[in-house]
Amino acid sequence: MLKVAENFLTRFWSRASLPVPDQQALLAAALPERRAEKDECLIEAGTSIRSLLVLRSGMACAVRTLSDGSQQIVAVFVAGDTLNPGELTFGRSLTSVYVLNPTVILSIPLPELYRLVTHRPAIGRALWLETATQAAIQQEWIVGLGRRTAQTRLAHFLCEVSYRLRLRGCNDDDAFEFPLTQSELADVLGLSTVHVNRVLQTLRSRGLIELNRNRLLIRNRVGLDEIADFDPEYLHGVRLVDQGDT
Amino acid sequence: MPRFFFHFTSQDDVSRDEVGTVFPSLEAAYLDGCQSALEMSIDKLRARDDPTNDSVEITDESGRRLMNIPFSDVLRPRQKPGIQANRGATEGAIQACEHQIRRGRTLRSELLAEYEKTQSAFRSIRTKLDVLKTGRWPA
Repeated sequence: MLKVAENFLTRFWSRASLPVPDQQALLAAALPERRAEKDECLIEAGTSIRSLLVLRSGMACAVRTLSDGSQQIVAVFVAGDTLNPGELTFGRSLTSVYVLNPTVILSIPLPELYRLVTHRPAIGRALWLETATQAAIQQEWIVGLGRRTAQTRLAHFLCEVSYRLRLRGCNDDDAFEFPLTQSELADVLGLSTVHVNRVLQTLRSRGLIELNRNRLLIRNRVGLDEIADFDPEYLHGVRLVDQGDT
Repeated sequence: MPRFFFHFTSQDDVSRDEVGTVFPSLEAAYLDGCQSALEMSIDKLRARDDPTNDSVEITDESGRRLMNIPFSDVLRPRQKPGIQANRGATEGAIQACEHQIRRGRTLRSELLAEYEKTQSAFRSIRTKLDVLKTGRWPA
């Protein structure tokens, strides 16, 4: 099991140019990895944060529930993402994090993490990079929610998820597992479920995508990027560090 | 959960929903349909298009038509907390009161008539008793 996790961490932390001894130190500090099923709550809003969670496989999302019961999904995590790198500094979690499809979670208790960050600056740098990347993604979401039309907003989100999965080596071709339901997509995009369904069908009828049974196929990537006004520059910070180091 | 299909009509152009969306009830489907009509209207208005003649039809899996939502219904501002409805209710209440008053008056006059009859019966009994006592009719 350690071998598997090690391979994973190598892939994950290498983007942050984390030297192998630092990776091994992190792994040694982690609790045994555990599986989580769809809809399981990994982090409950308002509870105190005890550890850094890393998504080893699958997808998850962070949700804010408003006083009228409506929900906004404020982040989507893919394999290799840390679920709460920024919130570690708040003491209490600001959002709830739910599993979107069966996942494996690695958790590193906070006291251990603080000790590691003190003695191994590369780990602190990796966390810094992770929060910066997530902030860049959130900034792009703000632009989408504030300024993009429903169709551009949805297309952009599909482009982003696809691109992030490819960066993590989770999908090499144009078809990949996409576990978000229409209603979850609606909560990401701030739209009604029926509206999301309609925009999906428009994209399908234009020969850009196919979404069936939790599987998304991008038929025409160039066309989709164009409709989405998608420029992946904001996802590149990670890769540039990679390239600089090799 | 049942699956509902939302077919949008704009001018003569009908876009059929081949996929559908699951909702716990028709009511939930209707509310989300209204919300989508509102969102799509706003998109159209932004593009300087007219959404007021568009509509969305909700069908079930067998294609049976369940509801139709004209966008104009969703766009019409909510009526002021029903002055009409309140006036109707008030008029109804006034009529009911007037009916009760009439009924009360009738009952009162019936009771009075009954009372009169009883009193006159007593008067005639008293007169007859006097005749029996004295053996002669009053002058």
